[in-house]
Amino acid sequence: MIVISRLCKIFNAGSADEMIALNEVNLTVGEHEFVTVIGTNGSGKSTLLNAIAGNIVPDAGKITVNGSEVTAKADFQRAKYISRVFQNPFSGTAPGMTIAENLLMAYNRGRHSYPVINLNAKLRDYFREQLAILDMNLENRLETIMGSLSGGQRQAITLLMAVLRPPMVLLLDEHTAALDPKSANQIIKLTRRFIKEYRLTTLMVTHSMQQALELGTRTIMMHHGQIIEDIPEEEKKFLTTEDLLCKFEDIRKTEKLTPEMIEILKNQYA
Amino acid sequence: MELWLGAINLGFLYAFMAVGTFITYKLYSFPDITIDGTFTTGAAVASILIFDGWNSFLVVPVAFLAGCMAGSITGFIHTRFKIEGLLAGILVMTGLYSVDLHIMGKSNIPLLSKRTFISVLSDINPGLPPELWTMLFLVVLVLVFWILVSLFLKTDFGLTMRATGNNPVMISAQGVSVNRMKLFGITFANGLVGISGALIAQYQGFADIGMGAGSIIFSLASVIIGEAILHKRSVFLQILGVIIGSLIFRLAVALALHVGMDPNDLKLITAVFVLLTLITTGALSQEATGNLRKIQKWLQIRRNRRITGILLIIMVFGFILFRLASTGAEESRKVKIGVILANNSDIVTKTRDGFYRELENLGYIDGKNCIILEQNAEGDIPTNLTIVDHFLKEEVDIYVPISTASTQAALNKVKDKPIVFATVANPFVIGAGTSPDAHPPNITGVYGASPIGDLLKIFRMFYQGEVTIGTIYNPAYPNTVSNLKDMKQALQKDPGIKLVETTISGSNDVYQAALALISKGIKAFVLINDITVFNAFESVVRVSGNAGVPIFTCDAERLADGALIVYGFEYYASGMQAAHLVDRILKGESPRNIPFEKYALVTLGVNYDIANILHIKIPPGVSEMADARVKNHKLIKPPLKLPDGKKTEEPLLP
Ligand SMILES: Nc1ncnc2c1ncn2[C@@H]1O[C@H](COP(=O)(O)OP(=O)(O)O)[C@@H](O)[C@H]1O
Ligand SMILES: [Mg+2]
Repeated sequence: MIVISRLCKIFNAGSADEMIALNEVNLTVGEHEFVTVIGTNGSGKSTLLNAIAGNIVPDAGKITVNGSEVTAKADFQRAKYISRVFQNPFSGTAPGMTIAENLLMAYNRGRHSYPVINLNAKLRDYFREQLAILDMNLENRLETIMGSLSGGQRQAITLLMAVLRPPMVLLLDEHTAALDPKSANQIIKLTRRFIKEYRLTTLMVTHSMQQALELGTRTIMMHHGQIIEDIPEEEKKFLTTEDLLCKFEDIRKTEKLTPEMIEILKNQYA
Repeated sequence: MELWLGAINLGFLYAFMAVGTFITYKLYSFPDITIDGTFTTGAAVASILIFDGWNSFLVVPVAFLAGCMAGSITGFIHTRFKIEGLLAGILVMTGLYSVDLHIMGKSNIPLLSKRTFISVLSDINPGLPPELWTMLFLVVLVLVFWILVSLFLKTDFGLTMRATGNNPVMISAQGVSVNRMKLFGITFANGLVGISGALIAQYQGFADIGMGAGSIIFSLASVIIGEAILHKRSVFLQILGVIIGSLIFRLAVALALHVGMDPNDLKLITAVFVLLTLITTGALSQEATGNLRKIQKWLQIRRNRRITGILLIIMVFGFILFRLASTGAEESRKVKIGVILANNSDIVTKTRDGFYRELENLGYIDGKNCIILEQNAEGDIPTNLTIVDHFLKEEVDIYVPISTASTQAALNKVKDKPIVFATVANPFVIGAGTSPDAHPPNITGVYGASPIGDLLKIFRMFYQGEVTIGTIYNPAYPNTVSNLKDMKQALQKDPGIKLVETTISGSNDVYQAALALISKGIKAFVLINDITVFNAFESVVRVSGNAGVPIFTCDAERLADGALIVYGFEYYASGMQAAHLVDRILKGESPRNIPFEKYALVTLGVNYDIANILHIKIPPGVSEMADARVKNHKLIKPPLKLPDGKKTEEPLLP
């Protein structure tokens, strides 16, 4: 479904704070595969997702989605096949508009919108049904302004919007990181459900080792702009968070990480 | 009542523009300054088409399309080349000035005798006061507009537009091109501004190149007032708020004039008001740090938008009602003379001073046996109209507009009271009749183009044979262009004089233009009357002194400033003439029977100091005829006295 070959992205090339965010990344994700992505801060996870979604233009390399090359396409042109949920729960919805209006935008995703009023009673009923799935008592608040909802509620709606027209590829970038634990759990539950129900090809960046292991059919680990580990489903089943931490130890050996950094990593993935 | 009805009508007509600004500013956080130019574009397109006989309603969609075209350029520059919105707007606005001028062909198009929507309306008026009848029409028009725009913003497309401004990240993740939506929004908004321009040109009876100046601030103010009053999320109420904001803003302008405030201060107050609102409403809050945030906090304590808005409305209307109630009880009726000045230029203020002095000589004492009201539009063209409305409300008995723009405003609105204009170069081109004797029954006045032909004859007394002269002018002003035409006509009789011309677009160009003329080997500057050049007269004088090339001009006021020879009308005397006309009308004569008068007094002035510096000998013939002289830095000029009996021009030269 997604084929990435020799993808490179260098920020501030040639200047003192040059940053190689992606270093010849190769990755193939098959249809219906659910990949979790872990890695240290600044290892290039978000950059990878941004490149797939078209939010950044890579310096070199090629990306194909469902057989067609998309490397040079703008983000809005890819939105027909690719849905995103951002880390910031406020990024995915329009705060000044109602829940129904936001859902309508998602309902029209990837299509032309015309000067006709489509938001009729039938569509509202459909939206209500869909909101009921979220189990957050939002189904009777179609006319509520999005800006007045909590981060968890908004992220749940963003997730719903991402799958309202099931996409070929779903990209999730630490989409629970900014939420309180209760909301985060609820969002993860919904994520699991939607991916299973629509059999979505998914890349999910996460900051939690546990999520990485529990969810998905495959886990990749990034470091310094490269994919350094690729753990298939069979292996995942037997892996524990300790094992993953050991992997970080290995990196230390090969890359001479300082003990302090290991400590930081451990805290981060505790 | 006229004043307030007129203000409400202007408010309705400006509502289209305010809604346009609502779309760019509120939906896209993009204060689109293009509209200063687009407003004029709409007016220009509508006027030129109506002038050609188009239907006055049909021109409105054409003006809409013209506005759309202008807006799409801003949108294109902004989205394609990633140029900041404000800068893109400034670029297009600047360019539009030239385009607007090309569309109009001159800087002012009068529509007085043409069929505007106002005249169409008045034909089917069932007998209501005209302003009230117009208002009824506009209520319906704006109501329909309100519903259509609100519905449009509720369609899928409209929702996408709103979402684009609200959260561009989200909307592009939904597969919408933010650039395309922005382009559309800016285009559409400018189309609406074009509609305002087209309607207002018809309402005020003319289009003028300067009519768009400051539009952005005024419509921002309307949007902000509207938001303060109806702080609602519903699109219908938001748009309604903007329309009401536009009404309140125009009422505030009328109120300011009513209490005698200087319209110039109004601009400052508006600017401060908009700034304060921008700070308090947190439009800047994303970047706000440190002190700015503190200021915001402090202001927000005192801020409850709805209450502020309602208070504002109560204040405005309370005051209006109070004034309306109190105008009933008036003292015994004295004759009211309403003087309208278009700006503060020399020519205008001299005319006014002469008018007042002669009025007093004729026995009219302000406050004793007459009341003189004077208001100055300070160069803002639509304000002339509001001044006339104000005078209508004050029940002024006789209108004295000084300069062309004020006269146009008075002509348009005053139908049953006498108008005596003064200092208008050519009253026939603005629709005040076809000859000095054939004019509307309530109008008379003093006019005349500058005596350039005679100036050239005087010039010939200095220089004989083949000679080259130079002139500088700004082609944007119709008076200037007609002066230039007169000059060329005069030169046809004297092929020995070769004319070199340079055009300028602003006072800053004058110095270079003068140098350019020197490099072409001119013997003298012969300057036609042009306000832009005279604003930078110093520049010409400097070049003149350095190069030893004298200045001849038609403006009598320039003698002491450094011209060698002036030969021009006395505007002071023009004001005096107007006073006599007012006197005749107040004594019972009908303006219908009073022919327009030409300026009665011309001054020939010689500056002997300049002659010394430039080593030029003044021919004895010229010295003899001179009325005014500058010698040893002293201006010697006899007091002005109108010639008895004959008020028409007397050829000075054989
Ligand atoms: N727009 C940008 N400009 C400059 N540097 C960037 C930009 N985006 C990311 N980077 C840098 O690239 C590296 C990878 O970032 P990112 O992909 O966001 O890491 P993460 O794995 O934490 O999501 C980081 O060092 C980051 O500072
Ligand atoms: Mg990241």
